[in-house]
Amino acid sequence: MLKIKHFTKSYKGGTKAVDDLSLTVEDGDIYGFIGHNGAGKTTTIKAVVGIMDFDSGEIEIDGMSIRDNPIECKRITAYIPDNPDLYDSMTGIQYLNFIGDVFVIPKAEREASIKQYADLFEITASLGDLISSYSHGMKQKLALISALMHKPKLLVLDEPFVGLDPKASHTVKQLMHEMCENGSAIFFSTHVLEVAEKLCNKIAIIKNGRLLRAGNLEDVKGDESLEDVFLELIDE
Amino acid sequence: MNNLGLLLKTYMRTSFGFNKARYTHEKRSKSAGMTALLTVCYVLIIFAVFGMSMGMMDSLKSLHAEYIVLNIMMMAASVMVLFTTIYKVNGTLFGFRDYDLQMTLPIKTSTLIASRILILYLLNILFVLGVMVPAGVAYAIVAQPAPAFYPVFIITLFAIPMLPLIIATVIGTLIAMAASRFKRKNGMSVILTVAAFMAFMIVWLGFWTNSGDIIVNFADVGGMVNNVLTGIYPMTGLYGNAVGSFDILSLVLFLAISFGAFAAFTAVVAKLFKKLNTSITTTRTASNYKMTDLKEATPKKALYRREMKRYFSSSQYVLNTAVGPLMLIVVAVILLVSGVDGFGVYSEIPQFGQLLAAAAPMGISFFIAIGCTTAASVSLEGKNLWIIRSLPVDTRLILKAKLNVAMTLYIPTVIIGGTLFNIALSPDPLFIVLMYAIPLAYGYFTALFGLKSNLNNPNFDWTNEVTVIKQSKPTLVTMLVGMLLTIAPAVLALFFGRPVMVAALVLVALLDVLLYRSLMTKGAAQFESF
Repeated sequence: MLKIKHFTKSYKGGTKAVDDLSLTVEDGDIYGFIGHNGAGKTTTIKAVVGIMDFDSGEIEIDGMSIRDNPIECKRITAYIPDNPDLYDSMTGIQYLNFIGDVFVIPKAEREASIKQYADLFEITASLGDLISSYSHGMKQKLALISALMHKPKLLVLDEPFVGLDPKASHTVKQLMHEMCENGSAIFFSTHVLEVAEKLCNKIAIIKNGRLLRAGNLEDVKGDESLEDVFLELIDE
Repeated sequence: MNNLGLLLKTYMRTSFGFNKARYTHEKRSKSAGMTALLTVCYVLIIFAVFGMSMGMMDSLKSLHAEYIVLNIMMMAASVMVLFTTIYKVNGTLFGFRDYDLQMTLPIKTSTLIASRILILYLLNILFVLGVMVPAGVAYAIVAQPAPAFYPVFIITLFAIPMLPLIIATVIGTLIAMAASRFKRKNGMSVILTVAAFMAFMIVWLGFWTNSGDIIVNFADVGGMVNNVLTGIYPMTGLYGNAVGSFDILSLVLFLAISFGAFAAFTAVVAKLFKKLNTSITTTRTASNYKMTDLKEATPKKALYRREMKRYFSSSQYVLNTAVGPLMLIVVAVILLVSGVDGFGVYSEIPQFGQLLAAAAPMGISFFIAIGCTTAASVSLEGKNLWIIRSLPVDTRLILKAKLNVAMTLYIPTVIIGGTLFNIALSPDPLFIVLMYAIPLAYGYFTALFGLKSNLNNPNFDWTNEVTVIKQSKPTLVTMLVGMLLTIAPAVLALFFGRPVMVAALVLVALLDVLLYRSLMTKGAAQFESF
């Protein structure tokens, strides 16, 4: 579903944010992307979803290049940033309807999806209120609904569990599993190693822009805990 | 550095891109070009004020009443400060984005408020200097005043914006408080602010009309002009006495009122700051939504609606861009009611009838060109930019939606304004057509140029949207270019007649085509690179 080949991105000034990173996310994968602050996770994610250009390498989603076919790639991808700043001047339902219009989701399907996910995240009653009145967690939930409602083949999330209450976190994990059972793929960054260890079937560890290890969870961590492996690699 | 200095330094660093320019390696050539253009425009304004002052003082020289011109300029600067500050209050003094951060710092509330008012002061002083310094130089040349003039002039110069600033802040605060009681508080804020402007204009016109046809011969009625100015704004009288006659009591009173108002306002608001901020910024929630039928729209229409929602979500945005069209309608109505000759008296422009008959379409274009929605539309994406950048839509559609918002404002304005002008002037058929065609071409140019300027100079890191709506380079450059491109042909049309306007129409239409093509290719690529 997602192929990143020799991806390199430099900051203006020449410092490499990410250097020659390659990894593959297959259909049905829940792929965890871990690293310390400033390691290059968000840079990679932003390039994957087509909102940041890069110096060299190739990123393909479902066989299409994000550079050559950005619109087609975005049509089958959903992205949620670590801090979902949404349109404060819209109500929750106006925002979701806007996303529905842009993704051309048929009316009946749109209404059913919104109802299903809004009930699941328990924010249906707040959908008529302005987003400016929402808490961080509510914005996160609204962003999740907007991402899920067009049934993406690839879901890309940057720190998805920050700000969510325990019940919502549990719901998100369940939804991630369901999506992957239906053939979609998920690529997400996290600092919560316990979550990554329990949720993911594949893991990539990045340090200072370079990929240290990537592959099946069991191959990456061996007999140790993911936390131990991560700390060993980071301290090297 | 004390806390007040620290707060001001932080604002300057974060709001005008100084820090970004210092610590990033972005290309600065476009920004430098805009700075140069702004500087040229500022210098042009200074020369225009200087020339105007010299002319007016010359006709008052025989009466030894040159100081009246200083009073007029002081009054004009004060009115501009008042007008341009009212709608900055919400966003600068209240409801600014780093309110939570600053209120948790161990800094006195009064210091915080003083810093916010001084921010407004700094934004205005540049304008006041641009008007008063050339007028003061002209006065020094023509009137050759005693040496005492210079220190008095300089001291009062920095006090001029203070009182209008405080008055505007009080009005802005009252409007924000009243609007916060309504569900659609932004809409209400727009209505109340427009009402305040209208009320001011009515009072202003009332004073002039009650004074009779005093402007017909400026030199003969200098004293009356002064009386009217003092009647409208008593500070003008104190200023005139202080600067013109070196009256110490007037000087002391002028300074005491200016700085006393600042101190009193800071002290009063410090006690109510938290309460006022909470009541102004609190959003009403109903939390009783039930799923109903949703209306579908095409992506193109959805993007246009998104832009319109953004436009109407900010009273500052609406007021800053709608003030030109609103003034046009007011001017057109007055023209229709009072006739060409009557309007000439109010507007203080001699041979106004001739000017209007030669260049009315340029006049309409001027009002259209001074309010541009697109010059801030890219920057206003701010922290929401990720949404539109990650959606599967053609970037050209996004840019077209931004252009369409501007045209939604311009087209009805041109139709209404043009029709009123056509009725009032009863021109020939070609002129009737030009009355619509020229402003529409200029309107589209303004929208295209504003968007291009903003793509060249975006600022997504603002903490107060007024920074990009009103104080950004793209907004100022677009407004000044629009003014120059309308005033220059209007002046030429006075000498060379209608061919100038036809030539301007052809030229602007050509620029429209070139700019549109550039936006849909280079502009789209620029947007995709953010």
